[in-house]
Amino acid sequence: MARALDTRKLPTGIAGLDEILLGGLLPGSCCMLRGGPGTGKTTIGVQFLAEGAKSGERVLFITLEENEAQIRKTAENLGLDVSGVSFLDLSPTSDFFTEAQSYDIFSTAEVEKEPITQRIVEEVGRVRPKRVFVDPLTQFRYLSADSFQFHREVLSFLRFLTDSGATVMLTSESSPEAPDSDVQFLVHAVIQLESERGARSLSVIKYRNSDFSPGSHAYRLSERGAVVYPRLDPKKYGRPFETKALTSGIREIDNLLGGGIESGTVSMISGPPGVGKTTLGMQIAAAGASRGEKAVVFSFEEKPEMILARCDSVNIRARYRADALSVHSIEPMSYMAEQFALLVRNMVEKEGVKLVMLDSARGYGIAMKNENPDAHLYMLCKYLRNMGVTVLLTVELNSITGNFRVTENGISYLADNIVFIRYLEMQGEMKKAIGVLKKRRSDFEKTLREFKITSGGLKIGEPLTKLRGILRG
Amino acid sequence: MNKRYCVLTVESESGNFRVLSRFLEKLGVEALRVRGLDEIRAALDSGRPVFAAIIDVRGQGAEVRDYCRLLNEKGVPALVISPGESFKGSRPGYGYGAKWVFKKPVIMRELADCIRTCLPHEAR
Repeated sequence: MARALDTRKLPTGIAGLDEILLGGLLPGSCCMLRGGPGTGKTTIGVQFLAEGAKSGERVLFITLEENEAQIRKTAENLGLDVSGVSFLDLSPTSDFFTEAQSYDIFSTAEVEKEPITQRIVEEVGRVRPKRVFVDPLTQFRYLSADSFQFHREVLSFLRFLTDSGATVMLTSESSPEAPDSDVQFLVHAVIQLESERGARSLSVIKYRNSDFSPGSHAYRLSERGAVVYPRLDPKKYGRPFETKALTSGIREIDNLLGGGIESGTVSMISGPPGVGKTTLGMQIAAAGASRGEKAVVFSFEEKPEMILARCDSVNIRARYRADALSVHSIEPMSYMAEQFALLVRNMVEKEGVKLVMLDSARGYGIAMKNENPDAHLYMLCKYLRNMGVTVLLTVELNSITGNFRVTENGISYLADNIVFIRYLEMQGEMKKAIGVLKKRRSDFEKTLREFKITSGGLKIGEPLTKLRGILRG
Repeated sequence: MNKRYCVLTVESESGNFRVLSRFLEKLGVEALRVRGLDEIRAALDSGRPVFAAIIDVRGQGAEVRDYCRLLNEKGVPALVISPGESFKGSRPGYGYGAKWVFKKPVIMRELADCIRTCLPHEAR
């Protein structure tokens, strides 16, 4: 199971982020959020403070950019209660512009530093916060005469806050002209936020005195704030389960499979379009559901009703146990792989799902916003395997006939079992044949059989022992 | 220091006057904002104890010579604050008549030192 969270830490208010940080932020530490505009740094900070305020902690927001009213409005839109948050608003007021308050006679550092410092000292003394959010810290760069002074002043400022008992979260706006690599050395934790082509990711670059989940994790900015989806790390999950052969409800298919497919294995059903991959998968899922084994089907191409209606027409009783078999439609480019993995995890860990069908592997790749969906599919299958969940993965081949292939994109390494269905021409008639190519945990029938989808159900013929060259089409 | 000491700030825009007057206040000096020769003359003739004038140069600043000449006639030291880059080498005699010429942004400590030398001994 997942690593235990450190209860001494302060939760950030974002469950997924706390999971990555193994509990949250260490008390008295400073955590920097780095990222470009629109990556959600302020949102995460507001959630961090709202979480503290919710527990009755004194919390302080020091803003140098957005004004208090704007921040409160944003928080309100996100449904976050910031009534218990104290604000120190150091952002410029509108009269700075309308009343020509800009100046050039002295440097900004000389004019602003002293009054700002004084206000911070006074406010921290007044509020005595347990949590402080500074947004953005890099504004202080303009208050320092040079980078050496900036370094010393930031260090001193952070020490002042932590010495007064606060845990600090701060934001940094890095640019090629003003890089923030110096600040990264001064804080305990650095979280990098990135957004590219609609896919948002965060990674923990450092976390002094604490372990954390490394690598890139997905997040999104929802109408309720930032939601973080930790990268699925299969090795963190596992549970004891009994390996048993799951029968399909059709004796001949079970014979082909040496008795059925084992729980906790990944079975690939491969074949060209329209050959019956989904139908076969639904047959296996429905058979499990009829025994009360919870199954979930994710369709990346068809609407659930279309699949269920087709099952009705070929006598597959997919609706018979609606409590045990559910079909979900997933739209293209609608999920981040980590987000989808969390959806599956919840079904497995909270709802007791024992069989997951992904229809199809290519559809999964199109539905995920991530760059390398095959790697995420591999992680998901490995997680499901560790949890004793049976996976059915349909794989569509482009060619109707021709030289035999299992997949178009080389993902057969995912599979413990490979079932293939293909078209073949027999005496001038187009027919279908089914066979098993690989089965890791038991012996299986090496022959091909005719495969028919009829209104009475799936029909499997006798072994096609007299035919030659079937795999060449 | 006592607030009876007064320094003219000549041609300061509102933002600069705000920070300059706050700066002078810390030195115990009152800032008196004036524009143009007539207002300078009026301030000098008002009987108030003016110990220096800070001339904040904007644009071409062609009138600064006249300001300095008038201030010199009245025995009031002129501190010219030039806009920096636009001045570089282009008007070598610009500061003529001024006791000091500073380039923006001015270092507060340096300006404070100069102003103190203009004040009577007991006010420094």
